[in-house]
Amino acid sequence: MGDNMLMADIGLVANALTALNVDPDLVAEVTEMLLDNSDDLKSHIVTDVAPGWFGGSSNAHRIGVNTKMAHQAVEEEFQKLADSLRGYSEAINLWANEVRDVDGTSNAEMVQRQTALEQVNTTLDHARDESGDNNMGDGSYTEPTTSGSGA
Amino acid sequence: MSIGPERAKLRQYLQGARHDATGDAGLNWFSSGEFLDKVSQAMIAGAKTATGDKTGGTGLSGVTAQAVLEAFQVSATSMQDKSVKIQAAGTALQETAEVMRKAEEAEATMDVLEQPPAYSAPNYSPGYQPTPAEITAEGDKRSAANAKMTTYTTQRAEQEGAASDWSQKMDTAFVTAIPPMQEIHGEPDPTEPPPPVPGTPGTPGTPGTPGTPGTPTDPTPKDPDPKDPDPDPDPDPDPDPDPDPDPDPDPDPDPDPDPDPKDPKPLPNPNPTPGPTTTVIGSSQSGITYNPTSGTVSAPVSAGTGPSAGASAAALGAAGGAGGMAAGAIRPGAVPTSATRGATPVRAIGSTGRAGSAGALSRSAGSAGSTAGRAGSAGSPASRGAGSAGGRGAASGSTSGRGSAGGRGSAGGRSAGSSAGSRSGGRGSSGARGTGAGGASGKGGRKGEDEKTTDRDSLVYDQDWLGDDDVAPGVLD
Repeated sequence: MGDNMLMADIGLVANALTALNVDPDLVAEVTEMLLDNSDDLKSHIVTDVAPGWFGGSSNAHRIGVNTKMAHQAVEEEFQKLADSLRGYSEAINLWANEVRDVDGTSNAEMVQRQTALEQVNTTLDHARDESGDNNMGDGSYTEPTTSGSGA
Repeated sequence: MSIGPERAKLRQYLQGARHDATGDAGLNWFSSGEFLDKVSQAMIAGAKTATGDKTGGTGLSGVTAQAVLEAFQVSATSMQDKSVKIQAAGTALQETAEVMRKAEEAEATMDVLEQPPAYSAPNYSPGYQPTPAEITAEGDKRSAANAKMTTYTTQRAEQEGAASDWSQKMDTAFVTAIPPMQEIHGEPDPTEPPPPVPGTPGTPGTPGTPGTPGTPTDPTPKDPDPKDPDPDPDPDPDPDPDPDPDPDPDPDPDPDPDPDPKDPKPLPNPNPTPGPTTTVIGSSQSGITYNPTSGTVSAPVSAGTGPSAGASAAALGAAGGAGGMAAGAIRPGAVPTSATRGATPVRAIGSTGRAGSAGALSRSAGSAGSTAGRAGSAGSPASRGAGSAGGRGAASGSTSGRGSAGGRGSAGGRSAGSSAGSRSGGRGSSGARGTGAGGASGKGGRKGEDEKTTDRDSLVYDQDWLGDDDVAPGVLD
């Protein structure tokens, strides 16, 4: 550890950044796509299904409960994906802002930028993990407080 | 006006069902899956854009940019998987909705069947001799009534079969739709019924819809004829060991008009299929294996006349009840202290019927009347017969002790005689053996016990010999 290591990392970052190509139009196009889809996911309504819609048999109750659970998971998943896309968009914007017009003139500036990029990576990883999880929803079913007629 | 138990069950299945809303929801779910797939495609397209697909390769670059692109790919792949699952669930919802819709339509188109009145013979005053014209007219009436009854019975059976089919289709559709839902929520099915616990045959489960026990036509119309030689119109199984297998003076089982002017009384059973009583028990909700044979045999006939005992399962069950008497007579001797163990073999005999019958029999030694009554009220004529017979056997076991059990064993022997070849007959004859032994020797007819006594005496003798301290030294000396 120490200053030598830090300087080496900064040097690596500086070298990498020199090869970056940050086209503002390109970044805008990608982030816009992400935000649009995020909004669509956020506002998308998946129709709820009341357990009673399947009738009065015991198997109707079974499919009713399982459908309710699935609906809850889908709704949560859509919100999760919407948040992930928005997270991607934020990460890309942050990254673009940090790497744009970099000339690596001062070590202090480079350290600051490196910290910002680490935040980019954190946001990126979180968004990827959330959206890439094979399980839908938050993994736990919450019993509805009222057993109304559904939708 | 009444509906059969299967149709009533189908109606219950459809109660509150909303196939239209469910179908719409399924469509929405499917389109939601498609929408998610579009988002995933947009992510893939966005990744290509970012890598310069549209700009001749001058896309974003750098480590972070590469990480972004890889994350896009991971997200898109995951979205596609989820899209498939959601679409599958939507399809499942649509399929269940379609089955519900068809079932609802089928139920709505089912006729409301009116049970025709059973033929009732004219009530002639004593000594009145009906004219040939009257006899012919009555014969026509009777034929017409029987034809209507046959038509009704057939239509009802068809309707019940169709209703049962639709109920099963709904069950199948619902159960089939559960796994796609589980694929989404990823949790164990909280509604999955626990596996059946073996060794508890005494719990008959849900008695189900008792259905419409009040609707069946009385298979034994009141006999209006005062000249009827049969003094006993009671449909109760005749315990009288009448050697005559046919106590009915009317030898004509044909439902056609009775040409005999002296006996215008209707046959005891103009309606051969009092279906509702048995189809209730045969329904799947009662947890009993449907036994179509039991639907055509009324309890009084099968239990009372004996000869049919070897022919049908229901009668076998009834004979099993009679065999229960025999078993009750046997077992107290074999295992004097355990009434329930004594009734265990009865279960094997009545294995064609519901386990509850055997349970009733097994408990009968302890609480005869109530248990038998429950068995009778719960079920088919067969089980009713078994229950009552078991109750009788229990009464003998509980009130008379060993000696009277032997006496009941002789009744089992009679049963064996009237239903030769049946397994219950074999049991009955065993009962007779027990009786003979009991009556003859006064030891309760327990050969095993007799042997035990002998063994015990010899042991006592041996022990006395061994315990004599003076003897052994003397012998050795």
